[in-house]
Amino acid sequence: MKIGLFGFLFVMWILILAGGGILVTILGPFSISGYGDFDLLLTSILKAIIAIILVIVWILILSKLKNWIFKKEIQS
Amino acid sequence: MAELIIPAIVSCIVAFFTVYVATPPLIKFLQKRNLAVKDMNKKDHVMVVRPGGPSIIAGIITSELVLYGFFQINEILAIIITSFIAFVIGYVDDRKVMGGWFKPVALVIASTPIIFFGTYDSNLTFPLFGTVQIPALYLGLIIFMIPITGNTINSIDVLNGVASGFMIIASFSLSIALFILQNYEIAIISLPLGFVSLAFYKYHKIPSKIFPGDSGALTLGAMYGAIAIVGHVEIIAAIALLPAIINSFLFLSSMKRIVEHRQIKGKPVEHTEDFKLKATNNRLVRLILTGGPLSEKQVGYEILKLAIFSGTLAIITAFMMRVLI
Repeated sequence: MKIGLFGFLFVMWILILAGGGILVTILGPFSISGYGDFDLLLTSILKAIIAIILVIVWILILSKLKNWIFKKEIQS
Repeated sequence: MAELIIPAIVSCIVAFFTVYVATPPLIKFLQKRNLAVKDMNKKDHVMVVRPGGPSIIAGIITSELVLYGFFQINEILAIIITSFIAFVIGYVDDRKVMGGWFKPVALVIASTPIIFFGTYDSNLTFPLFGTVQIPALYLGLIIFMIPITGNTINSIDVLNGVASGFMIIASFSLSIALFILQNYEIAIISLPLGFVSLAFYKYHKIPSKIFPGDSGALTLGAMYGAIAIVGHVEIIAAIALLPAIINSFLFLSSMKRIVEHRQIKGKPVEHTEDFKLKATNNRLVRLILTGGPLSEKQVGYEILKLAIFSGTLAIITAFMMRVLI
């Protein structure tokens, strides 16, 4: 196994920390106004959509990384 | 702090010895009823009884009730009821193989006590960056968290001793993180999970005398998820669980749908002539085997090493929670 899976875990951890930074600094203060009672609902829906997109990007990056790490490991 | 030491010690002793004492009679009972499955990774025809869930839930309920005697807080009730509902769902699946969607959907019910008792904080805390308020999103997170942690532990239950061994490391990492964050009451409430897993590991380690089954694995996973929510350590809990999460993601991405593992056609594991593991439909094990065939014991140790690594990252994350940039 060498360091492949440990490296993969480490990168996952870094991506979680970075994702947290994006959520707190960009998504947190974000709000929609001008729609009255629907402001909170619309803000929540948009935040949810952005969060889901972030998770999908996270999975895609990890999937590519996994393939790269293990192809390299099999070749060595 | 000093007044918390006695409840902590008593509950840990009760958790450990309830499972330690209850499991041998449970094994005999299951043997009499012929409730056994073939251990796929043994050369000889070895049958192992299941499920071990009843002794696990007994350990959790008795130890948490002891804690409830010391501090009457709703967090304990939420954890007990969530774990018990997960146990019932797992037990149904143990007795009758349900469809792939049954466990994730049914486990949503297990998350309702946390919402009902209001034992959550809708602020999600991240290391270094602080908190983000997501009241509506957080309810969704609770509903998803219990099915995810439950099924994640269930999906890593592939080799002798792995689910219970993994849970020992992940839950003690979570308890240490809670102590670091000075959330002492929840830290003590979380300790029985590690001691229950430790006692069960004695019978589950290679060569297994009993398998936890869905009832055992879902109970452990659901309790872990419930602690993460009531202790406000969701991110730390996810980090300690990373190897199991990798396994679930890779499994889902290869299957392209949610499927019950017992319904997968084909041989789940391929062995070499000396009965080492060569290939498997379990994705984490498959990644571990890229370097060549390994024995079941070696693969189990590799998974536990990964658990120790992610547990260490979780503890580092807990320290980072106290730092803001």
